[in-house]
Amino acid sequence: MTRYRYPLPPGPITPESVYRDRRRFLRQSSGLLLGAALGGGLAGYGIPARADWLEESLEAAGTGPHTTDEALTDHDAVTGYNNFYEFGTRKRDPADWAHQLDTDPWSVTIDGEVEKPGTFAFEDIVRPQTLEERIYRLRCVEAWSMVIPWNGFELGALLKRHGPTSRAKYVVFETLHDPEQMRGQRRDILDWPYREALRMDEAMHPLTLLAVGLYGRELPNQNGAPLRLVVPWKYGFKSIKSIVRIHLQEDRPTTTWEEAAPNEYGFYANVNPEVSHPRWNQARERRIGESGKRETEMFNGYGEEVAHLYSDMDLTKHF
Amino acid sequence: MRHPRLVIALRLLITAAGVVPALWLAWAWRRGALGIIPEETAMHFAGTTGLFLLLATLSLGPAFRLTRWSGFMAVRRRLGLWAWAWLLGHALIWLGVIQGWAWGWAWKEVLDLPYLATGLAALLLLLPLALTSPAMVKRRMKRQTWQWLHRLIYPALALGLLHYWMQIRADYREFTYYAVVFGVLLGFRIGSALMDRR
Repeated sequence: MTRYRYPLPPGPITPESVYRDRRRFLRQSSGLLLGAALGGGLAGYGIPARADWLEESLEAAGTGPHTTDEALTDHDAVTGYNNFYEFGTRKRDPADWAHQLDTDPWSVTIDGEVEKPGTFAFEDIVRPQTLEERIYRLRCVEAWSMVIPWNGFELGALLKRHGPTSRAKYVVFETLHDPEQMRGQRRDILDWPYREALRMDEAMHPLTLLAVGLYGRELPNQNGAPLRLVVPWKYGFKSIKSIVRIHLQEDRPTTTWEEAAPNEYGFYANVNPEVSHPRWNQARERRIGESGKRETEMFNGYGEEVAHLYSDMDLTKHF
Repeated sequence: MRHPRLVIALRLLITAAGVVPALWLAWAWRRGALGIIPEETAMHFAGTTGLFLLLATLSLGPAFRLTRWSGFMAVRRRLGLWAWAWLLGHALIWLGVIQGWAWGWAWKEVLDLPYLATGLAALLLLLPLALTSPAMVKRRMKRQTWQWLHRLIYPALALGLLHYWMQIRADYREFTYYAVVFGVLLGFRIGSALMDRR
């Protein structure tokens, strides 16, 4: 299989986080002895050790199954037009403010109905996995869509390592809750921390991905670094970002958006052109970078792979 | 007392309120500072600017009643027309840039998306107000007819706010500011009407 080629964005000589932090650096430097300022300032800006092995794994990533050959959405659009309310509700807020989040070190708690619970370093979760590239369509509940080359591994592979018990029926995810680093959390627009969940069979489905990279590079903070979920047949809000907890349980949980507006956002949130959002139609979507609109496909075009999961369900009721 | 100088200053301020945001928008668009989808940002900016100016127009009546300074009434038409221009611009960015003048598609969208129909209704309610605002037209109309017609600003604003509210997913802060101002102005209007009747 030939690997899909895309132009990599030009790599900045100065790491982006350092560049974005330049004002703070200058502010902190003023009034101090120059030597002390440089010594103290630069020490904190070392290249994170994580980058080395993660870059290598990302370079080695082969193309996985289920990859679409549709035209990719521009890198700048994928990283500059985001819904990540932890950093603000405007589309550009995540790109403007996500640099305030420090993702290294990072740990994830895996607990509940598993044989091997615990809190694990990001490295220990990701290094044993073989990374793949998956080019997926992403359909936002707001009726826009993108085509995104993710790098990651199947969620099922991680869950198997921790041995789900027979009582594990649902997998619940939580985003980091830290208003210091995530300025959007200083206001109660949603009930923080953000929670999402999948049914066990959805979580174990080979399409369901945990992503650590985008466009062959480390995942940018605004896209949910260092670890995020990607469920391509569901509306984008299901694909929770910056995950710190994965909890397996028997009862169906209530997720953040479901709790905020249960008549508008269901637990399943499968892309479905026939079930309208109460305030807007879901039959068509705007593909970012295109003019006009496209017809939205059932299950975002992944029906062949996932329709059987819902064969005995009324999707108008369980939207 | 009319204080002609103060009226001139207020007129200049209103012209600036109409023109400066347009200059800023053009400059930001050219510089690429409006984000990945500049037309979407520009459309939202035009909508909120128009809403702000329309609420400002509506506040001139109460300002006059409270101060008895007729200068407020002398500038009302000017401000109202700026609000109309921004709201028309808001709709034209949607129709021209976002829908690419595809009238058929645009109409289909209006039928599909209730918030678009609501916004269009608000704009249509404002159209007769804009058309009857020139002094020449106003003079030819009966005073009461004109006043009655221009009360359409209240349902137009209510529909405009509804159009805004229907698109919000979780963050109601900015909307609340506008809604509260509208509520206060509406309350003032009803209150003074009741007092006049007595």
